Amino acid sequence: MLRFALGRLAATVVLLLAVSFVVFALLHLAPGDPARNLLGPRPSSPEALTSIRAQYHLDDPFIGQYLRWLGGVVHGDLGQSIRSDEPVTTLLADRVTLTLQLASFAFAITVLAAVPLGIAAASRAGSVIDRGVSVAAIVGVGAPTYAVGLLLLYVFGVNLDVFPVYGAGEGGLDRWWHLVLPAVTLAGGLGALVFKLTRTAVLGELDQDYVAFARSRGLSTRQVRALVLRNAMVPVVTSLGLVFGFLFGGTILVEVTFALQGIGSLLAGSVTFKDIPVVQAITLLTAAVIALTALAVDLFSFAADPRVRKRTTA
Amino acid sequence: MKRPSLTPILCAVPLTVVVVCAIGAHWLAADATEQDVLLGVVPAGTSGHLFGTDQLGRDILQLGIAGARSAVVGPVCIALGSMLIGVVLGTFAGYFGGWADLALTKYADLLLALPTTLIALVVAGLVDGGYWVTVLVLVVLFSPTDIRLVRGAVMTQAARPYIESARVLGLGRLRIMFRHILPNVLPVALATMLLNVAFALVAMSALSFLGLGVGPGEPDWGRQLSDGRDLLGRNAAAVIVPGVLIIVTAAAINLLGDWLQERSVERAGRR
Amino acid sequence: MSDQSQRPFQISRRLVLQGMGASALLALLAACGGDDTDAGDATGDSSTGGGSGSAKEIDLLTIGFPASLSNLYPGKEAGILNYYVAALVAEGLVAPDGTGKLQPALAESWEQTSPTTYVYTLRSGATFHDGTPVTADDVVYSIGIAKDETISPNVAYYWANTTSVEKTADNQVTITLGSPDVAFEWGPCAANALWIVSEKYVEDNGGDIGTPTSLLYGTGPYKVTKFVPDSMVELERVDTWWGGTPPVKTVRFDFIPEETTRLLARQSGDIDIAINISLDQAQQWEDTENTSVLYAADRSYVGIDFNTAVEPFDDVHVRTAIAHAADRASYVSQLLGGRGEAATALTTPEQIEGVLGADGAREALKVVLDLPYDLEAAKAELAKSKVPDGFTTKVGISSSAPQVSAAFQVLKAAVEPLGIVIEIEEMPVEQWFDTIGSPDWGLAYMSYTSTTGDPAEMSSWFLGEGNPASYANDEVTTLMGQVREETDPAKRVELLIEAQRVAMLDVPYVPLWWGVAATAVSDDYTIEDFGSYTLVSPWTSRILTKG
Repeated sequence: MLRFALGRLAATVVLLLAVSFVVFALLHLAPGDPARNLLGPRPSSPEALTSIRAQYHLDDPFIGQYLRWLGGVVHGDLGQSIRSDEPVTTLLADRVTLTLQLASFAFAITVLAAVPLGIAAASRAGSVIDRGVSVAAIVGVGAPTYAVGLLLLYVFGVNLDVFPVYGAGEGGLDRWWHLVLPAVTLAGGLGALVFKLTRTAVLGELDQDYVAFARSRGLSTRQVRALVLRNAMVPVVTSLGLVFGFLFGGTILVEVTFALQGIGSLLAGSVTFKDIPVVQAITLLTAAVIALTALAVDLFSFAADPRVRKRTTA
Repeated sequence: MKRPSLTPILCAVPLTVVVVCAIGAHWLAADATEQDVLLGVVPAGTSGHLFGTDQLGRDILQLGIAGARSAVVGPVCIALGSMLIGVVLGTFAGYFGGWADLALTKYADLLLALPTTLIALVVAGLVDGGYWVTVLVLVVLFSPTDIRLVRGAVMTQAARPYIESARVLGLGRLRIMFRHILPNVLPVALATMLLNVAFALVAMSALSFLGLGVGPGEPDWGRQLSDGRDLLGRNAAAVIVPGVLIIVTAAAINLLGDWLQERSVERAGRR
Repeated sequence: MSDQSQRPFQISRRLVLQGMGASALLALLAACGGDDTDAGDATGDSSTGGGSGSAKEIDLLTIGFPASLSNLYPGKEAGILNYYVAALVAEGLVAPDGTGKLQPALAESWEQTSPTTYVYTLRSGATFHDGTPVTADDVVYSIGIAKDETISPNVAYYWANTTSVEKTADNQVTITLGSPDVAFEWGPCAANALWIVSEKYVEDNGGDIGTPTSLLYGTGPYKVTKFVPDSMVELERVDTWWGGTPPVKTVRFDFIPEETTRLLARQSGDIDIAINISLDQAQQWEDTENTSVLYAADRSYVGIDFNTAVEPFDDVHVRTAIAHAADRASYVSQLLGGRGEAATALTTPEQIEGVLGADGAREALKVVLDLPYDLEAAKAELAKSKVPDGFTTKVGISSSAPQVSAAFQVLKAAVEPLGIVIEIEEMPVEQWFDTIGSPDWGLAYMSYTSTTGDPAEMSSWFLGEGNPASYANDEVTTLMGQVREETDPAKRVELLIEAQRVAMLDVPYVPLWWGVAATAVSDDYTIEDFGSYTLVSPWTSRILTKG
């Protein structure tokens, strides 16, 4: 188990290096020039352009620029934002916290609502509950995030005046209070997906031969259910792992709708501005979160499913 | 377990309408892009314009009909393309394990770890944007989820006794993979694929805000939705029509997916 | 970009009809005493009161901004919203009044002692927010910062022509130019290119400026108490401002990129004022309970740029044909909802109103571009060109400029029968910068908001050396040279209009419209004499409480 985990961890580091290189290369290839963006749509002298380019080492060869950045990272220095002049670490600190809070909140809602509903629906396939939730999920998957967000805002923010309309609050409980509507919005579409996957997985297991066999051998319904759930868990947890990564990296629409300053909107702005240090830091962070979640999922299936364990060690 | 077979009909009706619109847009909505700037925005119910017009005086209904094409073609291509990648690579990874598995999961991890906006912006910037570039980018970005999903399912299947026995019987690996494992993975794949069509529909409408979907002025539901958001006060139909079209189409595809999946599960059970 | 881009669709009409009252705020206001303070006519605006209200003490005013600020120093990030915040915190030596005339700010007076020498006498008793007096050294230091293109990439251009900036007495700074330029007067102005900051503060904070750790720290009526980039700024009134005490104690700016969310925030009473609302949604704002919308020309220009070095736009007949196909009047009436004005020149009327009056300005500018909307004429022009059967071209449009996109769609439909195919590409605003003057884009557009009242601000770029149209004409160059040196305002405007008229005979640009900015204000308040220059001067002084 430990060897497996360490091996995966090493692979994760390699993966992060690869991501950082790919993103750096893509930014290098992309059209646009951060120096030009700083100058804006105004007249400017060629000298101004040259001195700004020199300040950010934009004329160095590509590999040199990448190594300079990598060297900084190894020493714990993520560089300075070209757009705002702030050190990347301070720029990111609050935003990462907010995005993490938002993603975790939405994740909790997804898990606590979608998984039990999925199991319930599968065990009563065809019932009114199953139909009702399935239809809701079907609409949920198709409804665009920003539309759901604004509908919630209109109903709960303005009409009922229960929740705040925008912003991230002043910290503490106020923060979580502000995050209720964004988290529900974010959880909506993904919750529908998780519900459907759970339902499918449980239904699939219920149809397996061993279930009929177990029943015929006189195992109690509870025992059978435990068996089924245990087996259905692997695909469900795999999908949940993906969901968390997706949540963490996919908050932008919700951030914009609710005027939250998370990493999503910062990334979008930084990409078009070609603010390389910021883009690098966010991509790397997102990649790390996603990779670590994937690692956790793998470790889980390793521990939970003897069949997987046998294959991996074999 | 059995649903009344009303479901396929219920889904088929809207889907048929959408497909007919997509195929026959040239005849059904010949004037979709016809502007009448001096007319401007008129509300729904104005004579000659059932759902009113947008800022450029274009008929909302006609635009909705003409938009079916890009709404259907792109997402279907995305779902098919990414699932094709997912099934091929996921089955290989899941069945062979070892190096093939490691390499392919790492590839999927790499793709998953890349921010969508960045890739879309860069690729569109390099090859001059356009609808098909967006489709291609989304195929690639949708594929890692499919790869992982199929891989997981294959791994579970491969550990099952019936595969062991097939192996003992000396059946070739490819044969086991495609004849025995794949059919059992297909229900999951099908469910995901149909969900992906709906997701792709929403994703493409979101990307069109960045100027990454169809060009301005082209009929497209996502486009219509974003163009219409400022017209809410003057002609709410400008946003309700494309919005409802997206939701209904996505819902119908989903329902159909569920139905097909249950049928295939039943069939598998009978075998 | 994406920020502005995500918008809703599932809002029913009831939303518009059912505004929610800002009852909480009303209660708050009722509780506030009447401590009448003199708003201090800092900008020297001579016009008399328009709104009916009084300068009562206001505890907190919340402003909704449509976009984010990531740095408070406009030299670094020069969005128009950065200017609006900076105008309350820092000052230049001079400041515009309501008609666009320059008035004293931190300089008590100034004079031009030779065509290239300007002498500024500093106001005695002006202090920074911590109470330390403003010295000539601080002014010289601040100009040094503004001139440094790595610290102030956005404004360094305006200082490029200065050869020396010297402290010539304890309260006097003398600036010498390399060559005469009348427009320089607008340089040392917080509406353009100078924010006087404390040398000690900047140096104590590592030389950065405008970041959360090294804030913009000046002499204005407010100091920054909290700045969370891309989220909010909070300003607190100080008692050190020489110009008096504005009625608003705390000003809070919240950045709400999604326009419909901002509208909902107004309906729920969470914001009092929304600056630069989307013109397309203006009606919804007007229909919102307890809310009024103020419109003011914002000296913005939108027009077509041809790159005359790129085929087929090197042919004047092609350019003329497209100019004839642009239906400016319809763009304004249909796409801008009538809020704006069909443009005939690069200079906006507001920039010459001070000299010619409102009507006179429009009359004078009418003669500049004389190519009416006429598709027959367009056809005839194209027939005379070297591409009589038409051609295919492309244009890049910022995704945050929906009206420009709409205008080009109309233009595209208009020229299609002539055989001209325009492919419209939408792109992030930063990529759009790159299309201007680029050899890859023969057809482009410019959207430019002049921050100053100098009528030649845009023309000196667009008709000067290195202009985006690659346009060269000796007569125009000579006229623009005279514009730089002519000190008599009336004569200068005359020369400027003549330069534009001559240039426009070659149609390097097609002006489309002059814009209007709309600001939604809670009915609890009003902004006195809201006009083109209001928000680039210490504008909270003009906020009055109604009732």
